[in-house]
Amino acid sequence: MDFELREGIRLHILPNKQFKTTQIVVNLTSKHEGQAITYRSLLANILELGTQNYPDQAEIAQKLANMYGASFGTDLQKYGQLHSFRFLMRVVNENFLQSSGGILEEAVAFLQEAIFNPLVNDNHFNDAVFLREKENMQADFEALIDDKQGYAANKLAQMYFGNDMAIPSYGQLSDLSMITATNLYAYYQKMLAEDLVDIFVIGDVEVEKVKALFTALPFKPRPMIDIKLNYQQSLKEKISKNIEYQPLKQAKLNLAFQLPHQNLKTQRYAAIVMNALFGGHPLSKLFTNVREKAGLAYYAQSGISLAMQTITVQTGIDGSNLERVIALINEQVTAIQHGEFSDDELKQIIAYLVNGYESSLDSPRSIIERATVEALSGKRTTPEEWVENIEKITRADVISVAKNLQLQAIFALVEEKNGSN
Amino acid sequence: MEVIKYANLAETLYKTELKNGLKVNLLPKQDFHKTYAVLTTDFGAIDLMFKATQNTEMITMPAGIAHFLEHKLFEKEDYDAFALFGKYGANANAYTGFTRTSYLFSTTRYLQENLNILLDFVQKPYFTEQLVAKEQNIIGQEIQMYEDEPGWQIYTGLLGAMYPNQALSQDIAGTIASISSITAEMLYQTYAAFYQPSNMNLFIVGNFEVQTVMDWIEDNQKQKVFTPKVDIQRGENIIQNDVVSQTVLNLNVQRPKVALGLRGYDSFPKGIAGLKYSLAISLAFDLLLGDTGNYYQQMYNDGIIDDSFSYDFEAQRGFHFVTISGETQQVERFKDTVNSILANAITELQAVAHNFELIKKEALGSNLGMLNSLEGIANQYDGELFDGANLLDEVALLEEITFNDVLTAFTQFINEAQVATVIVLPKEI
Repeated sequence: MDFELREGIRLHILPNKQFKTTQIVVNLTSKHEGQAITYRSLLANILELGTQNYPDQAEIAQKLANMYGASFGTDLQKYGQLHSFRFLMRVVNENFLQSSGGILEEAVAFLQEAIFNPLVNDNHFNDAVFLREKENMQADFEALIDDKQGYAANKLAQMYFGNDMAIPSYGQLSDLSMITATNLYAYYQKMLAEDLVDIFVIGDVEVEKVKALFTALPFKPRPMIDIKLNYQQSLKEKISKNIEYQPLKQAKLNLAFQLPHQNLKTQRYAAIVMNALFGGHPLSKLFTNVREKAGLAYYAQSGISLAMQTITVQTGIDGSNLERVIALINEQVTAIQHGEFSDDELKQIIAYLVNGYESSLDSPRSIIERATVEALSGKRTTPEEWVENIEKITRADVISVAKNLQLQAIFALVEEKNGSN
Repeated sequence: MEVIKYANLAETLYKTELKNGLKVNLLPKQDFHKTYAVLTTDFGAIDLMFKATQNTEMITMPAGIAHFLEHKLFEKEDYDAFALFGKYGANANAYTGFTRTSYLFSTTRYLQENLNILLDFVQKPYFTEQLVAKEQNIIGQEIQMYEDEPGWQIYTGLLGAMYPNQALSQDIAGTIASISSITAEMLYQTYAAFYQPSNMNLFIVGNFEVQTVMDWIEDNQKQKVFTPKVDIQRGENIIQNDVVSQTVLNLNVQRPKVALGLRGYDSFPKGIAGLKYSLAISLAFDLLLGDTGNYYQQMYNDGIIDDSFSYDFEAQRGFHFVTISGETQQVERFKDTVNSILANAITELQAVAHNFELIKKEALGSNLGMLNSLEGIANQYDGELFDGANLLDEVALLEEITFNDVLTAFTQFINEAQVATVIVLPKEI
């Protein structure tokens, strides 16, 4: 159920009797763009630590415990060309408690306090909190190099996109130093005033009550932002390839493929099946042929982003096998393009995708995730439609979509040895 | 079939015991899409000593046999159970604990087919010397991989310090040496003792119709011949000895870590009283060491603890203990602070009695939150240990628990507990 509370403020109620809890997400969306991403990332760290009335973590912990162990936090999501800053809250449904009342009201009041009454003096964030969190964030950015797989994925994104699309949802170190307690607060005011606000409530709730509670939140009307979710990167003429040397044992090899123009429904679903067959399933080509049969990888998998029109491959390998693994990965693409997979395999992959999709309908988090993408893209698909669409996919559809795959970028992180580099 | 209504929670549980002794719990949740089924035997890594038949001598199996058996059950003469589940798009898995072994799947479709696969592969063993030899290599590699993980070493080290010279001090997977002595004959002997239907339970939760599923289960069981029930006679798998008070490990870690284990020596209450006791001890430690207590914030501000600080109560057949652990640059202060709280634990607990209602509310809320997850409900089921009580029963127990209950259980526990400390220091390079 969708309501526009004011211009640019939307409430999405997802009535659901499955769960013993009510989950609330207040989602503020703007374009995924430049320095703002890092501002938003630092805000996510600061805003969950204190408010005027609950000035430190202990006070917040007490308050949440008192609301029957409510949980509260912030996070960041990148949806194609959009960036979402989220306040998340979960409270129990009071129907299941012997005593109590007004938990949902209390939760919304707490959210209002967290969003509109942060720990601020004279138009800047509390200095002690700001400095500590900025330092923590700097340390977090510097520690990113220790997560070798994440590091390789970021490097690959930089090579493939070469623009703001490569900036992760949590921002980047080079944009951190300019942030001050004052300009961060100014940015927060702008974000609160201008971002598209989508509020999601999932649980066994009374629609009118929820509507009234959230209408009372002091979000001002704002013009609708231009929400264009999907992103199309122009094709490179030549595959870019980059090898970096670091002291490490297991080498990381990542590849980016472009999967252009998946506008037709059949192509979108065929792309999902093709990715599962390629590297998204325990029976996939990458798993069985690169990892199991050839024994060339510790892990080998692929992931698809329809909004970004990419398929990326992640592997952990022995660095001396680098060229062999690249060749073998390309062979798997060719094999799918030539239809080298059985009907049984295709049937199992589709059964696996259906099971995964239907299972995700039992998780509040997944339900909100899907509702968010629907709200931002304006496209609705019922579970029945989704299943019907994926079950219709034929081997010809898979082969046809695989033929559009274009290798664009290769990044490898390999053990530094004497003499190499 | 016994019908248990949880009116406050809008849930109904159906339970029964089949003629062959298999206990079945069915919790239908029609609003859900998926169904999760777990078949569990009351047998785990510590059950090394037992009598194979009534009149023979006590025998001792090599460490790791329960885990080995779990792996081997998936592989059959003419099929692999994982692949068979895969055919229907279901997710399947298995895990071995100290006192139980569970086999499970989750699916949104083909429930009957998947249920038959589960019952059949667990109830029809097929072990050969050749397959055992192959598995020895695979598990051997798995053990070596674990040995590289500091988290694993600390946990094993702590159990070893609390329960020295016994099965609990060994890894669930065993050692390369111990598993190399496993034979197909040993697997059959162990299987015969512990995989009798009367030693097992099946818990199914999710979207299904109770009578239909019950009929499927009975049809499946009717087609099999089971040997008559034999009473299980376990040896002394837990030894009543003292803990090793301090152990220092030098490992490949960035920051030092301290882990304290409080081994319980008091007698653990039987049946549902045991569940109440467990909840009481957990609440006591929430009061003492949780983020609403008298010490957490101060220790945090002083840099003695960080986000990695945690504590946990564990109770299984034959043993119960509390672990308290965290990473710290101030090993001595961490130890001293926690030990001084424990030394005056009863006084300290009474000093935070005013927080009891708050802590209880928090526990209730988190317990209700766990009921959102089918896996959470089924995996928490401890069978005979708590006389068939489950996560739904915990809500009612929590509603009625008082500070006095907590104080009584805690006093009983802490007065006899012994503390083992494991300190992990970074390796000098």
